[in-house]
Amino acid sequence: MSNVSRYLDPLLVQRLNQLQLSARRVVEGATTGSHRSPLRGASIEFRQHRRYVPGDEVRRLDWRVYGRTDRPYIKEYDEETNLRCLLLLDCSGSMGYGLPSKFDYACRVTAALAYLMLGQTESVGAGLFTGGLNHFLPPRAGTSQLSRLLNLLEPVLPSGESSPGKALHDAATRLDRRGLVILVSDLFTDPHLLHAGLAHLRHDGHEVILLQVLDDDEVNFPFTHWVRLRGLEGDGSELIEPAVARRIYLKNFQWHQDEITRLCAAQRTEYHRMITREDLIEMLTRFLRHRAE
Amino acid sequence: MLAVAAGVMMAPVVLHLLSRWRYRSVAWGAMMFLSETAVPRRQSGRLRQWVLLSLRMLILGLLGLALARPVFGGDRSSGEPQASTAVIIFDRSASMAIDENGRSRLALARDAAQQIVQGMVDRHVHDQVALLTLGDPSPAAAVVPTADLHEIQHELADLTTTTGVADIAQALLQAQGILEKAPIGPRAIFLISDRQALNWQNVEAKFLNNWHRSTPVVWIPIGSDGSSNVALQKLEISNPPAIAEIPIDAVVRLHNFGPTARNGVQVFFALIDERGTRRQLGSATARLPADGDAELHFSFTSNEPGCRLLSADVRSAGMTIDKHLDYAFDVLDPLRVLIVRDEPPPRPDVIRLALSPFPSSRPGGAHNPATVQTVLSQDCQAATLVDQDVVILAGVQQLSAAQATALEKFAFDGGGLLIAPDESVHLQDDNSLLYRDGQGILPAPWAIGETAPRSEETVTWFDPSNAIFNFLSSRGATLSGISIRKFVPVNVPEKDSTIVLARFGSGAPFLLQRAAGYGHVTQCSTTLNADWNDLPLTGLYLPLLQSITRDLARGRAIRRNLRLGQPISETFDRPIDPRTLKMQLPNNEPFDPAALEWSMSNGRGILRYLQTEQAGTYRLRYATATTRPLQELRSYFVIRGIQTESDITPVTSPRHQKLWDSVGLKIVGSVSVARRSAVTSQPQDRELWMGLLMAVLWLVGVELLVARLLSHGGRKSA
Repeated sequence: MSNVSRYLDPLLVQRLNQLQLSARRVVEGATTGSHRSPLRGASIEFRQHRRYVPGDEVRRLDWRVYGRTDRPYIKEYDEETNLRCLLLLDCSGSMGYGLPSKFDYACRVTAALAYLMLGQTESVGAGLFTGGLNHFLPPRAGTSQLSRLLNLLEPVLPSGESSPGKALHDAATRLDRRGLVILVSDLFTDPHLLHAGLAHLRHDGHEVILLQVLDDDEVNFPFTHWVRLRGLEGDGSELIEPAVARRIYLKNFQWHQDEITRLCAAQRTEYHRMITREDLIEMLTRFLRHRAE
Repeated sequence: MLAVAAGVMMAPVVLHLLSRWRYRSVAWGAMMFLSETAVPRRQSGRLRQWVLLSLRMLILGLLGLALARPVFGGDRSSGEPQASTAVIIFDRSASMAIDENGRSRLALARDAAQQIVQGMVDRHVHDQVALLTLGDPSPAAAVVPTADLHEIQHELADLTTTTGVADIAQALLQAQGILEKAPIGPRAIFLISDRQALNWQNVEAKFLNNWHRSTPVVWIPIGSDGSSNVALQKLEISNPPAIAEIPIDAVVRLHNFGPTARNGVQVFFALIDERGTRRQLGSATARLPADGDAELHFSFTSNEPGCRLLSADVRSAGMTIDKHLDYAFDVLDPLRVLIVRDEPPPRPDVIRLALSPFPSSRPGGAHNPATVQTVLSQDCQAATLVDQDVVILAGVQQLSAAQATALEKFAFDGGGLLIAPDESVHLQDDNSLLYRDGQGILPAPWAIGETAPRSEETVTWFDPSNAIFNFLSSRGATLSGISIRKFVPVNVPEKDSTIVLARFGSGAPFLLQRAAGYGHVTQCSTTLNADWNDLPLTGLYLPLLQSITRDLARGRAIRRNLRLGQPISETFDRPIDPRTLKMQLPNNEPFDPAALEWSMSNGRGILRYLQTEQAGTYRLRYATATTRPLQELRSYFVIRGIQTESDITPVTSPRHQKLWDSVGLKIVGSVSVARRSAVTSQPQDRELWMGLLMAVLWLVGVELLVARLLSHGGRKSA
């Protein structure tokens, strides 16, 4: 099975072709696209004149104004630039839970989003993280970027501890322009650490979207008999009596979800929860429609 | 039943453990929701789970217990009677010999015990019985219950009364210890004793601290509650040692334990000689006040020397064991007295006359208590003292060191020494040779320089308890008629061994005495003749001097009246055949030959017998080696027991009530009632299954409530 068909089956590709991902915010882009850039430069929509200062490109002088006023002015435009998007994928051990695993589901989400954005001539990059950012693919446009991204995903097996907060910090240092950062993870981390990473990105002007991928078991804790739970991130094992542990688990889980919701609202960050038993296409459709609104 | 209940109670635990062992293992990512903030809550939840588990165990346990149909106060888990364990405390102390309408209390008690044991035999359920006896002279060995009830019946049949005292407190504690080690089943203590209050005297606070009131005790009192009893308490010779042909004065004391006076109580005396011949001496009659004493004096003579056994018997209702007393003594030949003087004896020699007033060769006439010899002081040597019983130093001026040493040895060997001063005596020498700063034999040192005559003194005080003055008490006389013109004061040392026998009106000692080895030394502070006093001129001189001499001679006598545990010791002056030595014990049981120790010393045979833990009269049989055919002779020894059993006053009603309350005593008058109430019947048992079932239902409700709360909490969180 090729990498493309592994993560992007034909039905998904067909549905993606009907969708378009658009950012709410004006983002900075290196190439002309459908997004308005705050950077003033060569574009088709004039914005203002300003006095020439040494260092400005001479080719950007408005010669007509110079001829009439004998003063050098630079002509500035609102550039139409492409979207720079960084997809951060959680490769920690906890992502390996479930059938299909959360990691497989997250890879398909990542691939689908990349396909969608690259199809709109946006620049897409990717970062794989566990305790920190392990692999980084800088954002680029072009169909070959999709191939590079899929090749990056293909050999990865979920393992190790997860630290999305640190990954967000690392991404912030790697990104030199404002863009869109989409974090795909189960977010099994301390909400306060996640909050710090989000704050860093938001401080740098990036838009952040959190896509939390969960298994249905993790939401409902369906165990009914004695079970020994072995931690997938090397955090030991616990022999539990389900009747007691379920109530406690669900209480803690709900508290965690509430915290993430609260901090996302505080950081004006979009947050979506995806359950692996739900259809990926429907989940993406719902997500993109929400974005379009 | 309990085992079944315990097994049922363990079922939830087993299921719980099985569930733990059958868990599956799952790789899980969201451990953080279990292992961090959830930890304390999980522990609390685990506690709740244990509560639930305990509740379920309790429910099943109580259910099992209810199905077993337990009863309170007994066991009727099955229709068959259970084997029981009983301890029979059987009183065979001296008071059990009292006759009750033709049968002794012991026989009545034996019948009661036999009925109890026979009842157990008839049940055929392998009951076990331990038999404890009260009144044994020595502590019984460890007793364990036995299912051989016929053996117990044989033991009961062989029981006889003892001379010991019943201690119910000790027996109850011992019985309690036996029952604590007994197998599960009905248990009881049967106490079969008379109503004597003395039996219960140790049931006091110390006993109650160790006593478990739950131990069932059934007391079967035996005999009536009569308390009338006259006991012989003392029998002895008041003027020892006994001398052949000289009247022997015996004194006997009786005590009336009853609440009414007793008149005309007859005491019969008998004398048994060394050949075993018994001679009735006669009788005396006493008047006894209520709960009081009386003493009777009785005189008799014995013609020949040798060992004698004097017996006294009183005929009265009550106990039998305290109606008879024995007293063993030796009848001696006339005492051998040696008078030591510096000069030939004066005429008349008042000392000789006092001790030997009659011509000794006079046939059929009066007999002298002593044969007197006189020796000059310079001729007195150690060899001179051999074979003497008493030596009198009548104003010896000065003794040599060798003489002093010989006298000291004489006294230590059992001889008696009477020392009296006169004008010529070197008091300082006496002090240095005989007193030796308390290390010698002189009772008290002479006070030097205080010999000057004072005003006339009279003897105003004497010790009436001392045997020397028994002749005064029988006559109702005193020594106050003696006029003392001069005496030598003495400094009475603060030594226990020196006693003052008589004093002058000024308080100065007249007669002193101290023990020296086996013998005794008497010191007179005035002369024995009429030089310093008019004693020889009075009628008191002869009996006083004879009494002093006899008292000094007692060191030669063998100690034949002993206390429990004291060894018997006999010295034979004549040769005997040691192979013929036999000891006849008070209970006529065979004696232990190993306990007889035979040895020879200075040509004398010495026998010792050590096993004297039994009170009564011991008869030593032996044969002389010189006579043919062998002639068996006897010597006697009396071991005095503790005669507290004579008081047969019954337990009072208040004491009954106290025993009932403190010991948990159940008093029954019938053996059949006792057996039924203690072992075979449980009329007060109460079924418990209904209560247990109600408890189970209540606990089920509690368990459901707790489980609902737990599960409700889980769903709410989800």
